[in-house]
Amino acid sequence: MIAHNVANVSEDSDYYQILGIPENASMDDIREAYEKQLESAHEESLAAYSLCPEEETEERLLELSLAYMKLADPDARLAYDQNRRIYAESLVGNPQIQEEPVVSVEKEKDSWKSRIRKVIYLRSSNPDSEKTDQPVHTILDNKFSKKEIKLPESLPDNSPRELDSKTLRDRQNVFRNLNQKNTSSQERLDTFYTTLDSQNGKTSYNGLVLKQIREIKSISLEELATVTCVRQIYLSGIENEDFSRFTSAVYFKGYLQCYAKALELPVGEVLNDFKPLIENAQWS
Amino acid sequence: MRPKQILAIGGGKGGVGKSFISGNLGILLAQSGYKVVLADLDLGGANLHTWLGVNSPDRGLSEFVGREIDKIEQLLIPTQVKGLSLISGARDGVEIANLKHTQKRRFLNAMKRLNADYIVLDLGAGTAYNTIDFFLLADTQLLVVIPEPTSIENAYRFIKNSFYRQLRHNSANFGLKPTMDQLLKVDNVYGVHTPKELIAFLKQSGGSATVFIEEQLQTFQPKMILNQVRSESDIRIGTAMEAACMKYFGLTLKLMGCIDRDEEVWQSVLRRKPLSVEKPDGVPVQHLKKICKEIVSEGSKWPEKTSLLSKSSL
Repeated sequence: MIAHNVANVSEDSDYYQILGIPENASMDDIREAYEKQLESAHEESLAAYSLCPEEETEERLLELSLAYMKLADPDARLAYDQNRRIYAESLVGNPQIQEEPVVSVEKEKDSWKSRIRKVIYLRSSNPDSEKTDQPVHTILDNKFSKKEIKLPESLPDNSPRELDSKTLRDRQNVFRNLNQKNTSSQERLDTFYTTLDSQNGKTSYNGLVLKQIREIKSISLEELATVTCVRQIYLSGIENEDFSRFTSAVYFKGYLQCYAKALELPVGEVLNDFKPLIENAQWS
Repeated sequence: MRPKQILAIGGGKGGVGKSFISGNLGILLAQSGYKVVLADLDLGGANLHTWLGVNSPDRGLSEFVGREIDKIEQLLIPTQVKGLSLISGARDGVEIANLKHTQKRRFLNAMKRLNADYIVLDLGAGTAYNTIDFFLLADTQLLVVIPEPTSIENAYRFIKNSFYRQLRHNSANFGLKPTMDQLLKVDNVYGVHTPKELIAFLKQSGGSATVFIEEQLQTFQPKMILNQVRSESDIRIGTAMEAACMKYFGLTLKLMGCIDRDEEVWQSVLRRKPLSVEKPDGVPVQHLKKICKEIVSEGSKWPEKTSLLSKSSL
């Protein structure tokens, strides 16, 4: 079951307000504001140490990272801005706007498990379906092979560079590439999952699995760092389950959520699977 | 002649700079022309004489408590700074940390009769009743905090414990003792768990409860000095603590100022020469001077506190 461990931040949240920036803020402004807000959150968390429950800090960090990822990704920001405009105009009672709100890329994507469930349902209700003992992945293969997924000729190559030296255009490209990589890797990912399932009985997310998924998607740590604004040392710390790099469970969980979201993984499930690992961890 | 202002310097955590600050604050006040008595009330952990560079004090609190010395004026040890005397804890005996109720009362009454403009109390670490009671007695209640989670947590614990101690003491005067005893229980019938909830509960109760809590809030006014500051970020912790204290406790905590972390401080105690005398133009003393000015001006706004504790069964 997908455990919902996300803050009460929905599509209706004012991400500009959360980061404290105007609507015409540039990419640089957004990043600067995000880093400033993070610093503030850490300071306030220390100043309220022993008074403020951990969940509150976690919620704030998650809220900030969601806001950042929504606004720093140019395509997601476009969709978000359009939705906001439509919503604002509908409040004014403007009947001329008939546009369908742009559905965000996220909502279009079902989690891989629910997609399999759909397939199984379709199969069982289809009298021409294959025998029941056929493994699920071949059913998926059949479904997908009818679809003709067009992979891009070559994915743009983001050579490793320090976050700060990236130009605006470079950063925009990283976001666009990430979306492409996430979309185009789905088939390979599904194969990977079913292999894991057949080996271990049940797919459980851990550091190694996350790393393997990232590699299947051909996403480098640099790219992930650019997109999430989480430093590579923490991202690799998650993959290596090196808890000593993190000051506390709160920060580990916060960064883990950023990681999972960037790779379009079910955040609740990932957190749940990591729970026993976190509880047994030695923090620095 | 009654003393003008009693300053108490506590903080909960050990080693944050209470003795450094109280010693040098005493010196700065004396240098400004005031008559100052410094009292080392770190019972069982007296260090103030070292920070002041007073060699081998030959009398102190223990003698007064043990009645070898009857008059508190005879306890006062002169220092190298004109107008500043010290009540030392250097020769304190083994029983001093466990001062009896009557002994404490005798000392407090005598202290209030001292002829001085300022009485500065250097308190010990922790939240023992003997420490908290001296803190509550003061007109200016100062907490020394460093920007580390250990000190921050201890400071909040100190604030909560002393506030509750004050409430418990004074509730009898308002006929609220049974209510208060219940409210201060961890699992009380009212479902009150934090100071904020307790304050709200009493305010809403009306009658003597509302008057009581408002009077307590007026006399409980802790102030904070942020010591051993290393960065801009550290300074912001100070203001963030003011906000956190109001948000989670419903109590006003005021930041009086910040003092930079400086090698000169520990060097001064090694040399046993107070920094205010040796390096008055150095950074830590400059910062402390600013704080001292704040304290003096705050004190002049705030009339001498007719401490409810003096009337209570303390």
